[in-house]
Amino acid sequence: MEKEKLNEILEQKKDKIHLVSPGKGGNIPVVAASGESLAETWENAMFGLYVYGCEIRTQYDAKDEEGNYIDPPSKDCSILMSIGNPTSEPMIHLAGIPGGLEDLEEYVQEVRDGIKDHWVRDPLDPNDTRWQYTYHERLFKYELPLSEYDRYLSQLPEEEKRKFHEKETAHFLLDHDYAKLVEKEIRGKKQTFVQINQIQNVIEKLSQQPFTRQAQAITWQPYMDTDIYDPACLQSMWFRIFRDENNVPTLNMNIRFRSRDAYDASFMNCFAFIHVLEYIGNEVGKRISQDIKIGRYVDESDSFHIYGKRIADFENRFLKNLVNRDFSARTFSRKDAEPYFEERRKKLEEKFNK
Amino acid sequence: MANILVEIASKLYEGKKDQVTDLVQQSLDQKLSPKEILDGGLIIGMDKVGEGFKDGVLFVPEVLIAARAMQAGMNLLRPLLVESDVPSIGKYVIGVMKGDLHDIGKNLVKMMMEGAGFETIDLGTDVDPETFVSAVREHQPKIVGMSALLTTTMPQMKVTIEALMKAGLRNSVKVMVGGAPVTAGFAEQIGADAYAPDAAVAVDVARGIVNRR
Repeated sequence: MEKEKLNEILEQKKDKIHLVSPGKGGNIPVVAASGESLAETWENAMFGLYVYGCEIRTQYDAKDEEGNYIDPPSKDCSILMSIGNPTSEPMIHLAGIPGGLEDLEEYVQEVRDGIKDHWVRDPLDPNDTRWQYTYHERLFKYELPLSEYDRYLSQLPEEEKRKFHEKETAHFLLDHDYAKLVEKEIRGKKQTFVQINQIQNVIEKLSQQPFTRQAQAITWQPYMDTDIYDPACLQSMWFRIFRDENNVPTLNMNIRFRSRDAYDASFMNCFAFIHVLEYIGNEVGKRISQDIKIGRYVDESDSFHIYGKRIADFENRFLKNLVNRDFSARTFSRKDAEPYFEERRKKLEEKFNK
Repeated sequence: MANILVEIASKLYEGKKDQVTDLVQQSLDQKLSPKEILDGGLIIGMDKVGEGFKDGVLFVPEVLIAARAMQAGMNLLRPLLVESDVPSIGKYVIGVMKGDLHDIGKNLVKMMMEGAGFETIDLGTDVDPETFVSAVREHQPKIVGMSALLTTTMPQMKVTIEALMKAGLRNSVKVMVGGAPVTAGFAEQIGADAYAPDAAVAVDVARGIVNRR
């Protein structure tokens, strides 16, 4: 696309796309993009990335036999997206889904409901090529190996262990409903882990003290993620309730990614996380007997990138549509997508009933 | 071409499933043959969708919505085509390599192949070489399509091609490969017959193979 056209679009969106810090002097550019709906904000973020992003290599770029790069470098920036009203329509941007609308429903169920947690592989089986993690598993079933402290404490009588004034071991988490012991058979030997439902903890914390700053869930497990090929990209989800001008409790969410495939994954991530946000809002609402309004959603990525091999498609499709088709033609409402979602729900139900 | 066929093609492009179904039924009521409706309406419509995708006009979900409209029309035509012994342009066996559970690309290719008139046999995800071999033996397709999203599962393509050779089936079928990490160079290296970078190109390549044979 010609530079004039890019500048024209940028001018139209100047209140919604900001270059916070340019990509020069060895600094990775920082971009801020905002909008009312998810579709609008995501589109602004993608355009901001394309215009202001720097060119940088990734370890996934394809090389020929002599070691020369085949793929062009990726476009990259650090970004902050601020979605004013995450459940407002249109929620869905058609450029952000590498499959069909039905796949969005399946992905929501993967993240919120854990329908693919059984796809997490056995780390001790070298032939098992399933996934290293799912977000649901890390958020809802975060696992810690039981330490020697925990084992020692578990053997003490209740009154004895209550003497320990600092609850510094995982053992004490077992006083709460959101944590439990799970046993796994590893190479024929039973091992015990503490499994923490971090989202349940978020719900309980927010219900007890809506303004808490401690309602967060993380995915990173340093004892293994520092040394695996493709560690989790999502790092944390943070929640807090603030009251609006009419005193209505409003649930805010901040999310942070270390790395983000902007073109082929970030939209679907955001869409699924909004469903997690709605789930948390509903659960907190039930506990405090008050409706919770869904508030703004801030989404930060340290590396927000379009892979080099996808830039041609981005230019040919995303940018072309930005110029030639109305926003309404580029997007879909959740209501209009519902028949596709419902169809996949039924298929998944049938599959799991089998 | 009858106006109604033009309208079928146009509604299919727009993804209007119910309207395509109604129009196909109306065409049958007007005594158009199932083959005429398929070739002049549904396949023309899907070809336009393929062109729209290649030209960057359409997004992937729109292609899949159009493919569903095609399927709706085919549901009416399929039994009639079988009854009147109209052959498909070829059978296309497709699957995702062993150890790989990513099926979005595979599903898109499958839909586009059906839209182009191929009879597809979908083996699903995590397909081992033996299953590919059995499917080729059983269905005798013109083409077998292999998909991988992971660099760790790409080598399974070579293993599967070797399994086809071992079973004495390699010369009876053309092998097409694709998926995010797959390149034309890799395809050549493992002895595949063809590579396609996306679903629309896959259809062109498959048609080329069928027309050459």
